[in-house]
Amino acid sequence: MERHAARIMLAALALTPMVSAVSPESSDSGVITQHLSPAEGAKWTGADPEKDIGVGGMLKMKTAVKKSNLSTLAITEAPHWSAYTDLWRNWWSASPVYCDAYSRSRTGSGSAYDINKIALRERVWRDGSLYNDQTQTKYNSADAQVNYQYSNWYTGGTWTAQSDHTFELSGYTSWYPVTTDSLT
Amino acid sequence: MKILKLCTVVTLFGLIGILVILAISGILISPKPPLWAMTQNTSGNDTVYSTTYNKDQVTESFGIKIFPNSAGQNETPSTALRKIGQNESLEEYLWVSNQMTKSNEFLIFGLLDYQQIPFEFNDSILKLHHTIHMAPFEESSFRFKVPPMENGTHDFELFLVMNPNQHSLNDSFRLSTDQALLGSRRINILVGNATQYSPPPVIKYIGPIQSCGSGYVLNDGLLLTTKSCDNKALFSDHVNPQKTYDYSINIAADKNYPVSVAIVPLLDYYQVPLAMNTKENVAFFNLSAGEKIAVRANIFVPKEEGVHELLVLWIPQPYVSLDDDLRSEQLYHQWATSEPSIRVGLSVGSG
Repeated sequence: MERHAARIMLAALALTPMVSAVSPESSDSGVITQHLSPAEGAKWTGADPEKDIGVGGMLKMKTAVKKSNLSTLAITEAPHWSAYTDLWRNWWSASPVYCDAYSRSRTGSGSAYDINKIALRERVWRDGSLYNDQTQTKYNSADAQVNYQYSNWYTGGTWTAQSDHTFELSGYTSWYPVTTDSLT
Repeated sequence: MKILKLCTVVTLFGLIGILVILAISGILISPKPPLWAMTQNTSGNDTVYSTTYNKDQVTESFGIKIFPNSAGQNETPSTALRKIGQNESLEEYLWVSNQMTKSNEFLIFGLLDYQQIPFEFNDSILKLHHTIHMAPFEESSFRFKVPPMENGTHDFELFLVMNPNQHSLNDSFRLSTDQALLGSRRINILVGNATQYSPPPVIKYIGPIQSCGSGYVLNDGLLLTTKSCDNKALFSDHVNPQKTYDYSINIAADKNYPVSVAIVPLLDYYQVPLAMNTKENVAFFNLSAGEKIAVRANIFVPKEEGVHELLVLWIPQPYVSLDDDLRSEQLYHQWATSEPSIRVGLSVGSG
């Protein structure tokens, strides 16, 4: 039986598409998943953390991993990647509903770190109906984002959002995380 | 004498400097303790996998890749192109990483030129479906063998369906399967004397379609609905056995770029025709930017009681060389990985 249990954790995973189990991110460790507080979420969305509803969202962060252990000696700093989705609404009105999703690549000091491909696909659902389906793919860039806003006289119901993110940089393991959020 | 002392001091400082650099390098490259560890104990015919992990630090994910015999499982092949001789089988390895805190079952099937084919997997006989069980955090590779194919250019894509036997009709479970619980990996194959990737001409779908208009919500993807061009997802339904069940496959290019795609319907993970009155079990589309259409589809409901899974695959850029960096900018903007529709649960009752 051809079955070999791998013993090396940081196996080279570049060009390895990942299944969306709960997410399709790369299989190495080192991913931090957080459900942000309103104060932290507001830094991404510009919402009022004290009053607006549902501010927070899901954030996944990871420091890019070199494909080969030998290159650990390389001086080049690895980029820090963030994937984020937040569904929220204003406190003073049921309308509009916002969904903000970001893919970001940064240096350790927070400056933009351009990578070969950075992308984002966001789907927003309301009570089982698709309300938004949008992608943004950028090359040699540090940011991809989708900002959706739905306005109507009634915006109640159960909203859910799912974003597929893509981070690809030559020499580094690709990363394909998924972030989700919901709002009722 | 002074020069000698000076040289000694310089050499000493040099050595100290090198030691400092090595020490720093050692700190930089010293491996962090693993967040998880798997042990494998074999007793007789039984192998027991046990995993220890820090649940606060690990994250759940799942990865796959295909690699040829000659490559190690820790290497990623630099090309998606394979060359085999006439009448030769394709022998490769599938690597799977189940980075999750629980064990999972995966159903595996393959499409050769967008047609489901039987193949050998993990020393099992030729079959359409194969199943693997992965322990928590297990990473394993499996040998597979595709029977000989005709000379020329081919595409082969392996699909893994996670938790194929989960049949809850709960809407939230159904929604969670949208573009999820499935992964795939494609390779391009040259057989015989073929020297360059030269795919056969794709026959575009010519069946009836309905335009949804550019304002339809879908972009660069698909959605299964009951009514054409609707945005209300089809999650599940109670259906009559041995009857025709109608539904709509809505597909769309992005408003900013065109897409090329192959659409493959599956019932219980077996490829089925798009509609009862056709034998076409795959449909190829080239949609221009903003083009959004609905394809009326139906299936013949099985007589077996229980929940049957209806699923449609969205396979982008069929018959495109995966190594070709010269792909047009428009194609390059298309979402590049295959995606599943929502798994629709069709419940066949006893009554």
